[in-house]
Amino acid sequence: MNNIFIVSYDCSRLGNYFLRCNKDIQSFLSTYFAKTTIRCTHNNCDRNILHSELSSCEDNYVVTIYAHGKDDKIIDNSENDLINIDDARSSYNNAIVYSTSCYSANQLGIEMHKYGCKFFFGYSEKSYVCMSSKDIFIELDNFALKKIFLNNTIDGQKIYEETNTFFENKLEEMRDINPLVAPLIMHNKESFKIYHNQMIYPS
Amino acid sequence: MINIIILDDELENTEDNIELWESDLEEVKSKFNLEIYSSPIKALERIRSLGKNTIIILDMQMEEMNGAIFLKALRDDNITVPVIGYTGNTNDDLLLDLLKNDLFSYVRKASSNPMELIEYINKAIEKFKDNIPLELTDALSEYLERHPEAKNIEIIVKEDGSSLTLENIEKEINKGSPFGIDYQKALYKMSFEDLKSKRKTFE
Repeated sequence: MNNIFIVSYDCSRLGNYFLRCNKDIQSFLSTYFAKTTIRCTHNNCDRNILHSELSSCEDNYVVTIYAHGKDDKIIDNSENDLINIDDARSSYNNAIVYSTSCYSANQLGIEMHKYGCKFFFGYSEKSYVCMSSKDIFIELDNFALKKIFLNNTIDGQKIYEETNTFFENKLEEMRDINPLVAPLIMHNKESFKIYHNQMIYPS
Repeated sequence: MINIIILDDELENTEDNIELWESDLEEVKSKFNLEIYSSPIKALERIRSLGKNTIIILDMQMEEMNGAIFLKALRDDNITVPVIGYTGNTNDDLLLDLLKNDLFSYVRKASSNPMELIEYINKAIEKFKDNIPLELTDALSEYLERHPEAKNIEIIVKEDGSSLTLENIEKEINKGSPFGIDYQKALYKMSFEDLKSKRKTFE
């Protein structure tokens, strides 16, 4: 990948969850891809900055966002748009977009995919985090992204299947740790969607 | 086994009817213990003896005791099982009475006939799919009693950063909050039978 953008926004209730997701990916990238350009910001990126940065990218770039979301937008912690539906139609051609925001796989993901986004990952429902098991939820949230980086070519079907299996394994693990938290992993597993090459996973 | 009690005073010769519908009800009977009553008093006695794992399908317009009074009698008796009312009456006051007494849902009917009844049963099953079996709710409560340290574990919704604790799961389910509904659906997907086999983790 030529350029990797990692944007995260935490709110007081979430603590540093999104920052930790951000750092987890940075740590992974620095281990495996030391030469890749990583442009990352935490709590200080806005829509204009993002646009400006993206305008210099032509192909093969990844935009990863850890922030709150709605059907048609991803927002910062002041509820300003970071990405909205207009951006989805114009600014993400050829991008790989990875969002763990609630609902982002709905209108936003669909429009991005329709307008040329190469690959999109997001949740179609609310997604939940259990604060006492943050590490597991971070692993789950970042798993598919790591798979994208580790493969030379992107195969949506394969990434979906591997991610689904990973969720299932973590679900079993969580049943022993705290059975009351396991349904949250099940819910998140059932909510993530992948758009790639005119296909939606799960189909 | 979950019990389904149908109470409808227009169903005469109920036992004969069940035999006639045997093939149509086969699928239902393989999943549930199904009993049909035309007498509210007899139904009430039976429901008292059955306990929690019961869902009631209730005709709201019976001569001996109307559905709203029957429902109130249940609740006054601290019987909190889900009740689905069916009625052709569109009277708003009646519906308000139903809501006040915590009716789980209602469906409208044109007449009482076997095929329509089967449709009600199927609707009840569909509703029940999204409703956590009460036996499992007990298991969750028991788990929290045995592991009080888990009560304060925090769950965060990534949509907006709102939070709740594991202690509140049952309350959220009972009031039908978005979290409660998501949690129920996830539990259903994990499958009730599967969870029952994991009961050892609750004990």
